[in-house]
Amino acid sequence: MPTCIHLKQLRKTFGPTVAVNDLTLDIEQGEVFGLLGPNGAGKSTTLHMLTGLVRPTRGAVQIFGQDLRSQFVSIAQRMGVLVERPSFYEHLTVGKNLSLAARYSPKVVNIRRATELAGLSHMVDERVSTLSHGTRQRLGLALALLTEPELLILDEPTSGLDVEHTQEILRTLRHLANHAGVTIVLSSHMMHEVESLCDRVAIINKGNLVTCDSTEVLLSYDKSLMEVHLDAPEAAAKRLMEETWVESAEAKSGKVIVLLAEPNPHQLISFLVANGYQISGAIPRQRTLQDYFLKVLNS
Amino acid sequence: MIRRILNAYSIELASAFRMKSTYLGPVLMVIIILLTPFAYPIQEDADSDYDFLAYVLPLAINVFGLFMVLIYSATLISTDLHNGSIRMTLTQPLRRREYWAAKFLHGISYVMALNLVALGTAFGLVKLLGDLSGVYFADELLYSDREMIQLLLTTIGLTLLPQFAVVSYALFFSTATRNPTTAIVLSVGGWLGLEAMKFPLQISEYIYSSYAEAPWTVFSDRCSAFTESSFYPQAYYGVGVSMIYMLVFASVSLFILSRRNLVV
Repeated sequence: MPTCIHLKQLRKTFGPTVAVNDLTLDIEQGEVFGLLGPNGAGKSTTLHMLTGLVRPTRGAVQIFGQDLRSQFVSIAQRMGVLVERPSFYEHLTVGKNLSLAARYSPKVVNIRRATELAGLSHMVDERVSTLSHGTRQRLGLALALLTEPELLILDEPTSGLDVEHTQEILRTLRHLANHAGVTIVLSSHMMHEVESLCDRVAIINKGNLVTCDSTEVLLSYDKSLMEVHLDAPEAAAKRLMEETWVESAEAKSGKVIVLLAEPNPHQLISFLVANGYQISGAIPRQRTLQDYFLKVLNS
Repeated sequence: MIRRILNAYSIELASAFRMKSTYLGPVLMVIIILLTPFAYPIQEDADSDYDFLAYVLPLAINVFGLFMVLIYSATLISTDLHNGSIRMTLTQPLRRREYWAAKFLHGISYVMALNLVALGTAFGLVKLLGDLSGVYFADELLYSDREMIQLLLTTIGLTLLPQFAVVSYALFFSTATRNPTTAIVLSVGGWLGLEAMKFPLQISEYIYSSYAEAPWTVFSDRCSAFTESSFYPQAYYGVGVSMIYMLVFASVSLFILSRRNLVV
């Protein structure tokens, strides 16, 4: 897959505060990429630098192989952006806002398609000043989708949306990625959204990249957490703790929870059987991205 | 680049036409001009009423108009910065300098609109209530009606560049601050300070606003049958000084805008 976005030693400081610290990252075309991090981690600042709204203190942003600063117009023609808390022409209707924004694009724009994708078809004549937060969010998404962009940058896309609309938007984004090959970069606080939508996830904390890997790999970490039902959990836990490939083993009623250094459950089962324990069941405990996120941040 | 600026400008206008506040200045301008005959009467007495135009137009354009231009232009960018809509605009294929240029054209259009409204209203009022038949001195026709109208248009033409410099000046404050009220206070306050100090400090010839007033003096003199006064060389100074101020304010504004982080 060719690279869509290349960040090279990107740094942004606001006075003495380092918001993003030498971030180097590649995002491939057609990928759904999630940025995770606690509040103030530098997610929004990173996304703002990708959209040209914030100038990096140092480093370079390349999108579609072009330098963002010098080739901003040609890049922006292929990019759709949803910023956090989007603002519009309050005195105009939804339809008028979209038609005015469409005039910036050199392409022929299908406003109806954008409103349908964002679930706003029935609200085109509504004045923006009367819209709820969730509807404004959907209007922001419609604006981002207006020019059928190759790259979507979305800062908290489902913020303020109800469950039904959140699911609808996630389905739309997944459809765009799978069927239209749209590259999507998004930040979110909703771990389950990122987990279900993103191909790859980067975790940022205090401006630093903590980890970046495919969602599958991050969740495969789950295989290292095993729940084994056996006859003598206390003894087994004590015995397991002596092994270097076991990070922790905790006995609970009738079972032992084992955290393996490597995701190799077969080794664990073989070891327990070889040591004469009667195993009635062994279940890889399902971990979520949230568990992983918290573990990474805590470590 | 030109196409993108004009495109952004047309979007600016399309949005402005739908805002009630856009019409406030022109409507107040009409009201002020319509009320002026109570202070400066117009009569159908075969005497030309160019002197009424020489009284009301500088008042409307240079005093009231300039304040309206200051207020209007000071809100053009600061409002977008304040409510965050600048982020919607500047994530479109539009450079920051092109956005600023579109705002400048917007401000210029407002100046033109105010001038046209003032001219049309004052002229219509005189046509309706008074006489326009050239300027006479002892029954001798000094300036025909046609010459006076040409003179009037020249006068307004010469005051346009200083008025455009006012737009550039107000846009500087609009770019430098995030709050529209602060931008208005700074631009109007700075303006008043400059006007109050320019004569005591003897710097009026270096201040572009002086050149918005000078052409009206010539027009007024001609209305009073003084033939000696001339637009020149003041007109050249006016063009030069206004252009310099426009470039300086535009450059500083663009520098500020290019470095601004557009976050809420």
